[in-house]
Amino acid sequence: MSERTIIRINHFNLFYDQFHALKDICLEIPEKQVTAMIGPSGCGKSTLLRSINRMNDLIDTVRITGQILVDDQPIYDKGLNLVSFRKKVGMVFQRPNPFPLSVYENVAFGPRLHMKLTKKELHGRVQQSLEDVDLWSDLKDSLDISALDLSGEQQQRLCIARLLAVSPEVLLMDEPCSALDPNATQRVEELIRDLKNDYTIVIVTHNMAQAARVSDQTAYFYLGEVVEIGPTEKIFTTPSKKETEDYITGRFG
Amino acid sequence: MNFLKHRWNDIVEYVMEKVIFLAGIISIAFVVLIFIFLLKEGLSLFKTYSPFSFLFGLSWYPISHPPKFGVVPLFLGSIVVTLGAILIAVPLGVGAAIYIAEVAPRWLREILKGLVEFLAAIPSIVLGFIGLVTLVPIVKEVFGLPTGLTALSGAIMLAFMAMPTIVSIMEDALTAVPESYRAGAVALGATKWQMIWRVLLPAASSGILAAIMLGIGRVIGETMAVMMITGNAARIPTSITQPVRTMTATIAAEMGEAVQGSEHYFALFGIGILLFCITFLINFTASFFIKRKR
Ligand SMILES: Nc1ncnc2c1ncn2[C@@H]1O[C@H](COP(=O)(O)OP(=O)(O)OP(=O)(O)O)[C@@H](O)[C@H]1O
Ligand SMILES: [Mg+2]
Repeated sequence: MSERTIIRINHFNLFYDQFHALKDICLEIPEKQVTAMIGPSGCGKSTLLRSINRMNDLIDTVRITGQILVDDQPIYDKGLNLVSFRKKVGMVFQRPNPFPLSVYENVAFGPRLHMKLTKKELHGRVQQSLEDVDLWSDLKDSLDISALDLSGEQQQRLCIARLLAVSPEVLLMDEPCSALDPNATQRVEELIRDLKNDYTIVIVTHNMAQAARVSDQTAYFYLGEVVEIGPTEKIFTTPSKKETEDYITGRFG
Repeated sequence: MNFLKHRWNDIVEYVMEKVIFLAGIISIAFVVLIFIFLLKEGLSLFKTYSPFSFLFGLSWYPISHPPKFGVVPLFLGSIVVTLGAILIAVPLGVGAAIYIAEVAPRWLREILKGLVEFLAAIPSIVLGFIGLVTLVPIVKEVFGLPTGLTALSGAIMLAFMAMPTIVSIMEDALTAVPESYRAGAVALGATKWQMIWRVLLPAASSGILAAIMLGIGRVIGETMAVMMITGNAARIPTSITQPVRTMTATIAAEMGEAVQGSEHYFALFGIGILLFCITFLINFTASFFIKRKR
């Protein structure tokens, strides 16, 4: 298992207007591993996740200090090419949000933006991405149906395929299973474990069992701060901070 | 006491039901009666005048001897003015709606929306009058024409009438597109324009289509302002910078002078039938497309 750090968060602070939502976050995220972010509602997990691919740019009230480096490149520098950066760091949202286009067009969306491909190459990429999320065999004959007609699980898989189609390095997932039923959740967790071989994954979850099952490293957040971060096994068995232990046992209990 | 109250409620219920039923029947009856009247009056023309010469006749001379009621120049006049207006109003309206909904900063957005509503509130006759004294001289000057009362002036003015409808309905449609689509596109590295073009417009397409169709509906039905500004010449137009006369304007202009029960009078109703058919066709295609999109 490689231990190269791909994302480095250095003294990162984020304010919504006056509200200090992230406080001096320092984190390292190793390549090709799953990092879980856990913590009570409102502690800033989504905010941090969105900061990692600069989705907070869409909110006018946000101010930040500090820096985040992806592949040693400071992403809050003026010179950053946002378009190719977001190709590298993709995001899966809490509610599946496929575009109201066909299945095929959803997956082809990213490649059409970023790559000059022939029809055949594009098709190959769409097929590969759908295979990677185990949708190809189900959908290969219905690529032109609307993505909105798929089941919730299929929609979420499609949203993941849509990212894979542009060959990202990092996948950010914000409670990707919270809108799915338990069986679908289990299958998507399997998918996440598979994807770990090729991608770095950061996942926010409220489900402690899920964090324990899928992640290698876990960070516990409280009120905008990282309380504790370490190997998942250690966090869940012998956390060094009392707050972490209380939270985890509380959530399991 | 309680029994009486029940009784009373039953009576109210009964009366209300009948009143609503009656209202429904009356409105349907009116539509049917109007249609029958229109058909009866319009078709009376064909007792004395051939339908072929009416539909395909190239000249409209109601007071010559013998009179000619060829509807082609009027039909073409309507087509030229309407198409011109659509060609101007749709791209401008769509562009304005996108700008207001997606690009403009919030304070400007509110101002622009207010302006659009203001434009929609101007009575069409007033807009026609303003067009007459401002637009008409400009068109005359710019194209070096003998008169500015042309199809083009009419088209531009009608475009201004259709635009508020197009802009406000389309802006609603764009604003109603879920935020999650935008986030999804941006997170994939789409620029603002790519996001608008590839996600928002397809997502809002049925609303956009409805906006355009309603805009066109407004343009086709407009009469008085067009009459003021298009020059009122019932000739076959060969260019958009010539005076034309539309079907609606013809009815409005000549109904007063046509003797009731005369051939001329029936011919005007004939135009009415034709207009009815055209509008019906447009509404039908519009609802067909809108339904199919759903
Ligand atoms: N757009 C915003 N404007 C102002 N405050 C915000 C905004 N988004 C989030 N916040 C605040 O920032 C804090 C962190 O929010 P965030 O969504 O990151 O929490 P979270 O840990 O993801 O919570 P949850 O587990 O409920 O998803 C919360 O107090 C929230 O109210
Ligand atoms: Mg969240």
